[in-house]
Amino acid sequence: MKLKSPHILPASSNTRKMLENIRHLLDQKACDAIQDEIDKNVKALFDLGLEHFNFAKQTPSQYWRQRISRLYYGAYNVRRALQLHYSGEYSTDVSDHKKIYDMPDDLPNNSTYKRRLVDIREDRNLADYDHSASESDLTLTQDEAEKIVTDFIADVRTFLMNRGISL
Amino acid sequence: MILPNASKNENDMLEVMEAFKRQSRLSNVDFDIREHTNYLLLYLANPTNRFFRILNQTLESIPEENPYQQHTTIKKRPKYPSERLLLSEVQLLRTVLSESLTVTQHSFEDDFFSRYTTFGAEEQIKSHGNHIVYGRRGAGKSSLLAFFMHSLRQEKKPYAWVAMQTYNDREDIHIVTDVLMEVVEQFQKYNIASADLNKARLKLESLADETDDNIVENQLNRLRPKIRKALALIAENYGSIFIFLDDVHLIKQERQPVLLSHLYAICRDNRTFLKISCIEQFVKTYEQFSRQGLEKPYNAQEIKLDYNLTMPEKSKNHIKSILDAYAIYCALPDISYLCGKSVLDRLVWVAAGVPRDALYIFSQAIARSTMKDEKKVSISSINAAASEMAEGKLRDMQQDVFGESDEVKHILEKIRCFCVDEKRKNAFLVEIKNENTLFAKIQQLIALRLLHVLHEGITRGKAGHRFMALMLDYGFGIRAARSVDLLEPKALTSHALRKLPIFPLS
Repeated sequence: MKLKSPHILPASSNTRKMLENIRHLLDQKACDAIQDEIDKNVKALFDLGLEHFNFAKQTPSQYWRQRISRLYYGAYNVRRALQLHYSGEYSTDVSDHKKIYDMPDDLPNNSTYKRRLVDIREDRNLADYDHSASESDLTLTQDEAEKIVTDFIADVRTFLMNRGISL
Repeated sequence: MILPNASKNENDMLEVMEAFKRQSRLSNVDFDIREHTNYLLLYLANPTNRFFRILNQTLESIPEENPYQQHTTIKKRPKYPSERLLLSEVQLLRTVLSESLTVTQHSFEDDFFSRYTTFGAEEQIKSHGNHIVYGRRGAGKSSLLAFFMHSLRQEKKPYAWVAMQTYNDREDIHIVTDVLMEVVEQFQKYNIASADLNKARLKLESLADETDDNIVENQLNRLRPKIRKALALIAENYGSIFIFLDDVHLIKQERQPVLLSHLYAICRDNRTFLKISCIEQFVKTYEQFSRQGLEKPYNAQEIKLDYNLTMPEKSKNHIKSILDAYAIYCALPDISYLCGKSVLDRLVWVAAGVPRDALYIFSQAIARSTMKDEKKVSISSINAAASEMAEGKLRDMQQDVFGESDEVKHILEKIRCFCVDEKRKNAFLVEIKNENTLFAKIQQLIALRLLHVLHEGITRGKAGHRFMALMLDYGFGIRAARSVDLLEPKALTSHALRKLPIFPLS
């Protein structure tokens, strides 16, 4: 998946580092404009996560594969929003899923989320690809997965808003 | 640990579980395997963020070749186990409770805040002012000081912590020399004014062999401005600095105002503040005649940390919140997972609202109930554990009451005979006479947790005569004496208290 140019995100492999390294060349107004553009993308990624999450919530529990899959993508995109804001990282590569573990140390309950998001990723792989699996093979029940993603989204929302992101 | 007859898969699983047990200090972990995905599930009664952090750290230490390095998680126990007291989480709770009985500056270190329960005095102790924290043994004085000390440690702000236990029983002038030396040495590590502090330390060291008190006093007086000046440089750099003195009552009473006077002299108007803990009945912070020490409230403010049986609900809530914090720390939902409400009521009553006594009694009661194959901690185990505490309290008496422990013990025995043998009650009234020597000794017995205050002052009969209602500690064979009419918490009305026998002060 490629973002259509011109776009702030493909302009650098790390937007935070980019801004830090061009700050001396630009005036404050220009820097603020770049930061605003990054923040808009943080919000858009967060909203994308919410969309997946809301879809999962309204899906009947008999479609456990769909629910688990959407819950994972809900959490995954909210985490992408978090990382873009916090460390400047943005990736569309499939390997980014393996980094679901990376999150700020000062995010509340981060140790729980680190482990649980890995659990949900494993469950999502099972739900999406394993034709022989049944719901009882999931590590987390649907309710457990929904609860943890709900909590994660709430904590990330507070974290980002406390750092000046309008969501 | 590799088992020779186990399969590779079993040994891989064992490697993860043993590492998790080591890091979490759990003696055992219940587990399950999701066969379809080969996922290892570890079960805890209440998996908190702390245990997920431990698991994440554990898995980071496991080689990548181990399939469980990626495939292990923690889950909440699917159902309540019938024998809760045998859970490894409960065994961990017993260990943690026993560790918590003595709070020092090193207690719990990085884990301090996850175990700490607020008292409501935290903002006060953090303020820029000298404070004296009062409370019975085990009330939480050292914990409150440690709370602030750990906050400073996290913020990398300078402080010195002096455990007065080191100077227990001493009455010589060199207590001052030694305490000042500790303070100076601890501030040297901040690399500000370290040359001046080093000079002061050498001077203090050279004083150690001086036997003439007047010379020592004189030298200390001359040294004070130099130490004060050095501390001022550190305080200026960091905004403020703090000196903690834990358990000042442990040095001889005559020396207490002298020590405090010297310390106050190096702190005053210097952005350096004293935070002191002690038992009120055994401390003399100011000597009127010599005008030495800390005069309250001008030189220092007091913080009283004592919920007692005069406010049983507050005491109960505080003790419950402490026990809850420890339970959660050990992956249990809260303390009511292990006992019913009536057990907590009884615990607060027999511990007379003293948090540390409650922790000790509860820990012992877990062991008793486990031995009796009880499903939860019972009231009878709480009672039995409380009865066994007396010996420890008598040991405290030897330490806290200099040279007067026999006399205090004698008065206690007199009160016990009056209550148990004569009146067949476990509670009594005593007239409040602050100038009376016997009344002062009774105050000491209260501070030693051998008598417990039920009411601070009620009237009975003649106007102007006020009485304190007191209860004998449960550790003095009261429960064993079947003939004693035991006062129970529900009977704690003013009407019932007025009927209690009056212990004569003459």
